[in-house]
Amino acid sequence: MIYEDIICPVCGMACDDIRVELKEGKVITHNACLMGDAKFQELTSDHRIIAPTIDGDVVDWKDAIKRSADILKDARRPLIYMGSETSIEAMKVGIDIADYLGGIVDNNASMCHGPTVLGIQQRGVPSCTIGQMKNRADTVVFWGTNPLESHPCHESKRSIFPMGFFRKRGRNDRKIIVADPRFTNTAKQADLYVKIKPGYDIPLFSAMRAMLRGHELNEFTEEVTGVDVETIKKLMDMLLDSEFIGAFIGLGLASSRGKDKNVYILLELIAELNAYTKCAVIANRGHCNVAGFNQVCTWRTGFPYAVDFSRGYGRYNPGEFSTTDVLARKDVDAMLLCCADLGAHLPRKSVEHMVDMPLTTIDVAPCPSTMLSDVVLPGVIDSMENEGTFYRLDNIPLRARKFVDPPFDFTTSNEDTLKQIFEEIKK
Amino acid sequence: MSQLWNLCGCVPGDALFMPKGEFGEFADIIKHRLDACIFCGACANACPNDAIKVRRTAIADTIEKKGALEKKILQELEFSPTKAILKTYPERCHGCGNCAVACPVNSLYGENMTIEVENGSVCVINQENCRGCGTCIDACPVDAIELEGVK
Ligand code: SF4
Ligand code: SF4
Ligand code: SF4
Repeated sequence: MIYEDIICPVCGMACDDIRVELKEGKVITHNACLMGDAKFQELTSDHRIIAPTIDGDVVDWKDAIKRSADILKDARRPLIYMGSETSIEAMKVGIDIADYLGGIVDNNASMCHGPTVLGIQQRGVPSCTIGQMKNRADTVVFWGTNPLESHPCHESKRSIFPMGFFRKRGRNDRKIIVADPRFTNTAKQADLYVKIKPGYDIPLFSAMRAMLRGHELNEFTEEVTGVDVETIKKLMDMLLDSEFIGAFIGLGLASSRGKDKNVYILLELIAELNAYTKCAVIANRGHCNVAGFNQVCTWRTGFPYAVDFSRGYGRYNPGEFSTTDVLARKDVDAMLLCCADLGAHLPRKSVEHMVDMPLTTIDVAPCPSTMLSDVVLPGVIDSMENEGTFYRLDNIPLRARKFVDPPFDFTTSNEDTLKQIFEEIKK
Repeated sequence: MSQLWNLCGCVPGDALFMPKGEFGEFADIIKHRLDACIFCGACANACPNDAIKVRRTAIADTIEKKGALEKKILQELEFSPTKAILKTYPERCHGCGNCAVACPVNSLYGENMTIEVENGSVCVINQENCRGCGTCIDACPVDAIELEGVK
């Protein structure tokens, strides 16, 4: 069987043009990158989790659901962590569980583009869809992001190579600027590569603003920003000569010194640039539905991530209620981990607390998190085994279609699993 | 520019054509008919070497002559065989698809892909179509494609 226009649930690109062929027990993908293909291969992998376990022993599904609900019910302040590789429908249920129990709900956003969201909250952002970027941008800027590695299909489908409505000649109609401390694979393709000093984005943005306002930059500029005046001038000339600038910003801004302020100052610079040209900004969100979590969490609670309900109403304070911090400070006493392998990615201190407290994990494959878990519930691959809504990195919702059944019948989706836990909690 | 890739001859309309005809064979010259040009720009889009530009200088002029193709191509070009053999290194490939999108033959022939990403890495599907223009090689940031030779 061949299925067309399937959505890939791996990175923020949420490519919606994947062709999947199921032939003799094999999965053949077209248009999916290496990362995306690996996820589609999970459909037939032999390590797929297909039975629920408690303390490593296979148990009945109902027992596993009851134990998961008891863990959360008995907790004083549980953490519900909704990973990004699931639909927003499942995320909504997770948020509602945290609200009902007076716990904390969080997502990958708090440890990746959380600072970007903060910067955007402070300044506001001129943005558009990546389709508009493809159709209009004649200058594409990648600042602190290396999409060839993080979103492999970014360049071919949206930013550098595709033909756009006003950019018929694809790559030949676009100028590419890459700003990164490392000469990455994306930088290799740039018309102008700006080697920035790690953590010195703000001085560079300030120098660019000064130049925009007609000030002469002196010899100290290079010392402070790490970029020589000639390059800054060339960069500004290229930007000002553009009809439409598509700027993609990455974790290089959100995770280096300055964090949300890097984004804030960049947005200030863009506001001034927009007096001369048009510039739109999109954050290269890493995980597939991380933008979706911000949307649904804002819709349910008023805040985009790291929301605490322990006082009976939602409170938002990244750093206080974000996952890494509440785990490291042992502020939570039970956890429901859905569709994310935190055991492999968090700092040691946070993972140590995951070991100490009761933990339920919903996942499709064995990973460090499932090894730490008291209860493991088999995950459903949303967008392949169940339909659902996914938000692309430009906050556009896409409806994913189901094309195969899950390899079990006790649940139809992660949303269904969470709903069953929620029902059990309410009993 | 030293080689003729035959890509522009595959565009819609009959403004450019290969006297020796068939796509897949090598033409000794690209001819053009100004009266058939509809200014779609497809030939200019197809050419990986930027050798063709489509220009409309003035309306009056356009009506009279139906446009003009400014050409740097034609007689002075050297010729090369049309079929090229690509060697791919799937272990280096990220599956980004830059090569497939950049390949001018792919965009001309739609379904009948010359180069495609399958199971997360590059595979040359239809070696017969490949003109050896090297656009995919330039587009690949990780040197996963090489031109091995020409037939
Ligand atoms: S770029 Fe991202 S969404 Fe597209 S196929 Fe690769 S992993 Fe999937
Ligand atoms: S060399 Fe590459 S880009 Fe050129 S025709 Fe062959 S496959 Fe297409
Ligand atoms: S451009 Fe290179 S890395 Fe990208 S799919 Fe083609 S061969 Fe692979």
